Amino acid sequence: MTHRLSIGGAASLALPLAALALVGAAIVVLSNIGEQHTWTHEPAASIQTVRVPRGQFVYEQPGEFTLEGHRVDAPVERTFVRGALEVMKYQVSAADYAQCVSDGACAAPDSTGPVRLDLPVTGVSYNDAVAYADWLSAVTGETWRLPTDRESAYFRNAESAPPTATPSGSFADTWLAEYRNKASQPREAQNAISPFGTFGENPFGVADTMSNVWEWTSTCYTRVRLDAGSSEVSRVENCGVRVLQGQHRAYISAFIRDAVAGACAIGLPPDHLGFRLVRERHWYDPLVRWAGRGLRLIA
Amino acid sequence: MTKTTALFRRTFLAGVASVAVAAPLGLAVPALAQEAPVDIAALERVQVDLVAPPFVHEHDQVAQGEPRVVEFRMEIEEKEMVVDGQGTVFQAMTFEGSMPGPLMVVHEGDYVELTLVNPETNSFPHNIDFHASTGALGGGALTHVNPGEEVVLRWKATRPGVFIYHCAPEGMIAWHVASGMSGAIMVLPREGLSDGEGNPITYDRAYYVGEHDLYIPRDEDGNFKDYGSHGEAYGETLDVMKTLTPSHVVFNGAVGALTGENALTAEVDETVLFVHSSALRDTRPHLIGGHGDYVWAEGSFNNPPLVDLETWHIPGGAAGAAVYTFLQPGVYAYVNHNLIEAEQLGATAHVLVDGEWDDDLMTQVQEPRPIE
Repeated sequence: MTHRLSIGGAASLALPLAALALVGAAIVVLSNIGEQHTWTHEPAASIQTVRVPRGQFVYEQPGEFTLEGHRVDAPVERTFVRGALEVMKYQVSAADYAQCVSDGACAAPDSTGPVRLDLPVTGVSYNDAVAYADWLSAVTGETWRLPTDRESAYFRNAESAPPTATPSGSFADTWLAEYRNKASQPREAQNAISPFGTFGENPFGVADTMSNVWEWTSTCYTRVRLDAGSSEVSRVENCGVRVLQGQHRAYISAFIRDAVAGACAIGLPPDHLGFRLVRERHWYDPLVRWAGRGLRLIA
Repeated sequence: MTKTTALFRRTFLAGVASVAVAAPLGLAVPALAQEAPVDIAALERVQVDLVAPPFVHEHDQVAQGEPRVVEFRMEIEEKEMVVDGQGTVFQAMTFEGSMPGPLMVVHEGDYVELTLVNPETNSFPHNIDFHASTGALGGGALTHVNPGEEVVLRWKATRPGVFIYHCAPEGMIAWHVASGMSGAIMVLPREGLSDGEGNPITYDRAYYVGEHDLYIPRDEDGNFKDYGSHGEAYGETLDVMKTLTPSHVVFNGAVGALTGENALTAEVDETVLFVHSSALRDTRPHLIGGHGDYVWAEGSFNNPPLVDLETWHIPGGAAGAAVYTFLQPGVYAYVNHNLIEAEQLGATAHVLVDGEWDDDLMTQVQEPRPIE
């Protein structure tokens, strides 16, 4: 016996369908709520962001590249950033980070600066930055994360340094040339932690991209071997070391909070380590936020 | 014929007898000559302009001519010095404005005549103790100068070697030395350096690395304190000194002073002499990537050098000397091999060496690749 789909029949089907949709949505929402912690703190002020439109830029890949056993410059290529980026206008502030510490979700930083809304947090490692991003996401119900090196290079709008001609000769010649090159680049140590905006804004409106605070990215240090045709023979990632963007690119172990005490053998290492976050938008964000607040009320 | 032979034999015997008597007398002549007073007024005088470390003033390795009087002049300068990349200010006391003071070079048998000047701009009395000299606390008892005074001391360099000199005012010796007031003098054998088996050792260039342990107090937040004057720093500095734990261990007066644009340089096949001094603490120099071909670790040239050392020990209160002929190009680090002191406290110098790489000595057979 076949059932003809009458209005009544459709109605009887609609209810289970709607229930199924609700359950599905609930699963998506609940799976994104994260740990069932009761966060009693949240960022002191609303977070200012800049929307960086999609576009193209010249990008030098991070990591170490060798060609038939010899160190070579990393490939530099014009690349597209397909979607718009929403990035914090300023680095994460000392006050906001302190809220995370009060909640017990972040470790206290190694910084000596005062805890203020207009000063960046410093003395934080990659692990600290990730912990903060996780906490901020849980508190706001949004998705905050560290930018990749590529995203960071893009929203910093920094001029890609002209590739230094790779000197020919033995590895010793290259080694000496790199040493002398770094030695001739004068840079004074800048110890003072300056308020947001001190180092200006770039054309995108992102502030302090050339400050004395180097910013963690999520990109891992990579060693790539190239063959004569410039295609990759092998790529080995070392995620114990992460890439930072700042006045120059840096590679620092993920647990280091203070690069001053030994990150670079020659020349001055980064003055301070900090970070800023990128926000990803998902369709379920408002639902997660609502559900999260609801849980906090009843918990 | 018999007469001639007899005459010859008699003369011969007389000759032998004369030689037998004369020989000990002849050998005694030099000994007698040593005990005769030297007429210093008759000696040649030479004035030497000192140069700032790590460089060494021009000198002959083999002494040309007779022992002479070598005149030096050093001005004492109390000054503030920045000792690390974070801008930490140190209340220093120096010979000639540098930490360490400059290296002097003379030969065994020369006389060192030093004019020691304590300008009015200084606040403290000073003096000098030459470890190479004999008597009067190394000259310390005869060279007390208050601000506004100068003194002249002459002493005979009787022992070849490298020796430190330092300020030593009674009751404040440790503080003056810990404030940077030490340097070194090299007394070369008149025939130059030797390997102890009759073969001469010559060097193409010489560097002087003066190591100083500093004891800079910190405040409650852990930052180094900046005092307005030496006197203000004295009490708390003494407390840190008594812990015997330095806050900095520096080469040539500051962390990184002998790196970057100020790195030492050499070339493959060049022989370099490294003179190293440490007035308070023991140290253990090591050339990363090289060796000590010939090392006078405790600094005395009358002892044959030790050969082929990786690391050597210089006791606190001494200078040592090491000679190395570079065989490979590249970047070397010359360090105090307590690597905590080298890396974290500043006891590192770099040496940049140009030349051809020798694959026979070392080669990378396979570059790093994913494990197969």
